[in-house]
Amino acid sequence: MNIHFEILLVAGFLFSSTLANAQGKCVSGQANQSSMILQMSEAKAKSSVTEIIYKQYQLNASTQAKAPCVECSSSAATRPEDLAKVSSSIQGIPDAPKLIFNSECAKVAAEYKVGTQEIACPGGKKTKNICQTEEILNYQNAVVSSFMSCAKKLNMQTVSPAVLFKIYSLESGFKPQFSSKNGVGLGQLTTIFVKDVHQPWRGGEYVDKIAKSDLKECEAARAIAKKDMNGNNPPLSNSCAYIQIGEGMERNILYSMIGMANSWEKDLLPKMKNYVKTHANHPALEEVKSLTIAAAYSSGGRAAGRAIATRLGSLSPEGYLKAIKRPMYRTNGRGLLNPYIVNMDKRQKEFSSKFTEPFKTRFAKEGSQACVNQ
Amino acid sequence: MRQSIVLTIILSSVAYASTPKQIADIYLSFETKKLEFLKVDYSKKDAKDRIIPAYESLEKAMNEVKDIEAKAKDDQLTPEGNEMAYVLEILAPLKDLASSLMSKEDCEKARHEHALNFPVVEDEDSTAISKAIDKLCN
Repeated sequence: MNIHFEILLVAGFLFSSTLANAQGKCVSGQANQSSMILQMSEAKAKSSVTEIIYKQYQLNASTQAKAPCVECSSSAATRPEDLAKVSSSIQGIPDAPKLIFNSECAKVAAEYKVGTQEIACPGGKKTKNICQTEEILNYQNAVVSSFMSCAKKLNMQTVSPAVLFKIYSLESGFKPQFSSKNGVGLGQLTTIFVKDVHQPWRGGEYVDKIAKSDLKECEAARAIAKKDMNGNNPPLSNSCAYIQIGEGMERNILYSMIGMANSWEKDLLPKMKNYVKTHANHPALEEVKSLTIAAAYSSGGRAAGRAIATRLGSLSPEGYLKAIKRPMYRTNGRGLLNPYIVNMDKRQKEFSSKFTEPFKTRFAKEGSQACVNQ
Repeated sequence: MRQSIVLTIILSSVAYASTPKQIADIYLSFETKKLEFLKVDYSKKDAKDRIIPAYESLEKAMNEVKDIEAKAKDDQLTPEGNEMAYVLEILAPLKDLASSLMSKEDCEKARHEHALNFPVVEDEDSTAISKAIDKLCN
């Protein structure tokens, strides 16, 4: 019996090691904690959302590029149509949309160690050091890219990609398996946040809009929205429904974007309507909106975001940005009104030493904007 | 961690010390009014007549602080002004409820917006506002 158990254990270890090798080394965590590697493999085989994302972003392209180039050795390779094929196989797939974040940045963010509890899915067992491979990071990057492009097409006001990079870096360090007392997954969603996404007079409108959209960019987001509409979403207490690759991690990303759009339209815009109108053509206005949305996304919630908008509403966009990035003290040791914004920038500064040249210099100059693929 | 807490307290005290006396006085009065606002045992009958004027008086104090800040040379935002802006936001769901018909939907909206103001940590103010909303809605 014991021998059988040991054989099974060794076989299991070998199987997960093989999968880990197939998906690349762990960017964070340990190779023997293979829960996410197994999730990724299963999602590739069974999840329709993952299938759409893989196809949309041609994530198998790197594997295909390594495949032998048939046309190269063919004697007919001098024909123009075959020359085009040869060119395509050398340059990669021409139509694949760009991933939103620079993969080097996502890797550095994921390598950042935070002592938060992790959840192994399925099952929801509490654990630590789950291995996250480069393939998982790239897939996650593609999910964010897909949902951002859907949100943009539907005119949903979320945050800029650079601010989104800061948010996910601070919330979870791009680790979808993270779970704390106060938040679940990549976007560290809270119970009230998820409830808000489904309130008919608040986020529910966006869930419906995505579910009913026939846009190609919304294909993956639609699959989740359709399933979850009319409040049919799983409860947040079922952590894996917001963590597991294949649907959960994707749901987490989608909800964080819906929540932000909702917070902008319902909570912040009413406070900032005149401001937005007055500075409509100002180049800094988008960052003003993004950082105010980020402030409302924080533990200070809606009240902090709206209070910041009230406080800074008389300043020019440049002045607004300068002020929101500085600590905005409250009275009697109650901390800051904008700790989230201050901490986001602090985390980015911690990353700067982790990059290698020449990107290091670029990051020092541009900050998280350098992490966005233009 | 401890160092950063100490630093925050020191910086907060420095900022507090440099606040003009006029703003400090307005803030003290604002704090007293806020505590009274949260202590009152409102009923459906008198909510509108008591909550809305009390809220408007807090708003007036905030505007006075804004005016003083705008006239100041350094154009600095004071911690008192920041705190007052925040307090007005956390009290807003209760004020909105008082100016509504206090229907089932109005109550749900007030509870929801209150919860959005405190997504993670509840404090004394949060508990007091919750109780006041419940009192008007039950």
